[in-house]
Amino acid sequence: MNGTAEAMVVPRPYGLLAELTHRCPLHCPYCSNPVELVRRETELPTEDWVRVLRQAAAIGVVQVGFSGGEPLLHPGLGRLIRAARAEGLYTNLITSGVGLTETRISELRDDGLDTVQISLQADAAEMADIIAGTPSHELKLATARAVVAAGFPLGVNVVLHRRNIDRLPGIIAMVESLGAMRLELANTQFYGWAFRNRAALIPTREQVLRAETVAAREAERLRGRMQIVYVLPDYHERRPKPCLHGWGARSMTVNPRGDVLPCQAANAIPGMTFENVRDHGLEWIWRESESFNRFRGTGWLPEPCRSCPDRAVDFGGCRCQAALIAGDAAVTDPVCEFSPHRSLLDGMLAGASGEDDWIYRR
Amino acid sequence: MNEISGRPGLAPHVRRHPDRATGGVLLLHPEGAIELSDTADAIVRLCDGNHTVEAIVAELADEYDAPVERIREDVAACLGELAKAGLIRFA
Ligand SMILES: C[S@@+](CC[C@H](N)C(=O)[O-])C[C@H]1O[C@@H](n2cnc3c(N)ncnc32)[C@H](O)[C@@H]1O
Ligand code: SF4
Ligand code: SF4
Repeated sequence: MNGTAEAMVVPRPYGLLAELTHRCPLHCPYCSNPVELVRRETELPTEDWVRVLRQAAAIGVVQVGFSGGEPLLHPGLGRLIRAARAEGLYTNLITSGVGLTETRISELRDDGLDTVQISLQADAAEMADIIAGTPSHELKLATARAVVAAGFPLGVNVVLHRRNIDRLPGIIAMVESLGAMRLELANTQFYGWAFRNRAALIPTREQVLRAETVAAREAERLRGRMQIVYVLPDYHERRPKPCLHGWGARSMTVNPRGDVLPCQAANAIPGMTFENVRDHGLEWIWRESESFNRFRGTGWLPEPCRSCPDRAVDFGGCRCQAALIAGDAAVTDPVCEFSPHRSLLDGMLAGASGEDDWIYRR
Repeated sequence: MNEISGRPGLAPHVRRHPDRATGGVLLLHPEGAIELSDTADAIVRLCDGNHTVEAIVAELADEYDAPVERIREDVAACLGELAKAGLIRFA
């Protein structure tokens, strides 16, 4: 596709994120889903999803995450889990937990679901329900316990931001008491709706430093019992994250309309069009489409990345972040200390006084 | 540290998966997949909760016609790593 020395053979994908619907009973201000949600009328029907799962398995995918929105709201979920298992895929349900009754849990287990990940908002209902924009915390805890009781390995995800990051010790203790196998502490990634609320969500440097210390100490304490994964707040870092190990490198997302994206947030990149599973097979989209090849590998990189020894480490960072902050998806991630746009990000950090209130998606 | 003894078996959430893309074998678990070498796969296939570690060593030494001592080292190293990653358990 291009003639540079760094042009590469197209790698095989391992993971598929299947966003079944954008509909959701919660209103998290930190939600990374797009500002413009896919409407119910244009959601991909179950038959199309079954085909997508088959095609995914055929090109190397071994794991599928059913997410959203709230994937439990998609009428075909059970059938899709069975279809995925028939292809040998490892299946993970990524859910708010709302709607996951005990009956539903045992049905999903019978369908062959492998694991469940539930997101929680804070360590106490009072704060968690304010963040979620609806009473849900106690229900989620009960659901998490029922998931463990049913024999599923439970993962918990908590998105961290200015209002809850100081509660980390309480959050970790709560998740420990649930008997989770794994806790992902994800500092807010500023995409989609979250980007709108960034002034209210960005933590202070002091908060971030404290949280890192707590997370490291607790990970050590819980070693062998509960795995803690701490996702760094990349605005506060000096080097960008190797976003998804590179564009079109290991995984893909199919959104509720059937658009195939190299990453969940890629829809927000202005001027790019993504192919749809109603029009093309997944193999062609993964291997041949312009969108998947646009930023694949390191051959396309601009300066300062082009002559930087770390380009094979971080691939120049995140394209969506470059688009959102620098206004151009084809430049170095503004998080990088060598990026000419780093000052824009520093301005955003300085401007986040915490006095702003967030806006709920309704 | 986990003691490498008893009867190893895959942890309940782990699955051995023949990889269509490469013809190799993967171990699938909640956070991802790890690729097994041929040696590791030969060991993992015997992690069925019935074979003891010593039985696995004996069987592989026989199958590969190799010194028991060396096989024992390979098996211990492999099981040690898999146990550390939470992918196998000893019953
Ligand atoms: C978009 S949600 C969809 C599934 C379900 N509604 C839920 O919230 O669990 C997928 C995962 O991303 C996490 N998440 C949402 N917004 C995020 C953000 N801005 N940064 C990092 N993680 C985020 C959620 O906590 C959840 O674990
Ligand atoms: S992050 Fe919150 S609002 Fe967004 S999809 Fe998940 S539960 Fe719904
Ligand atoms: S210049 Fe580019 S390759 Fe080098 S560290 Fe920064 S983002 Fe990574």
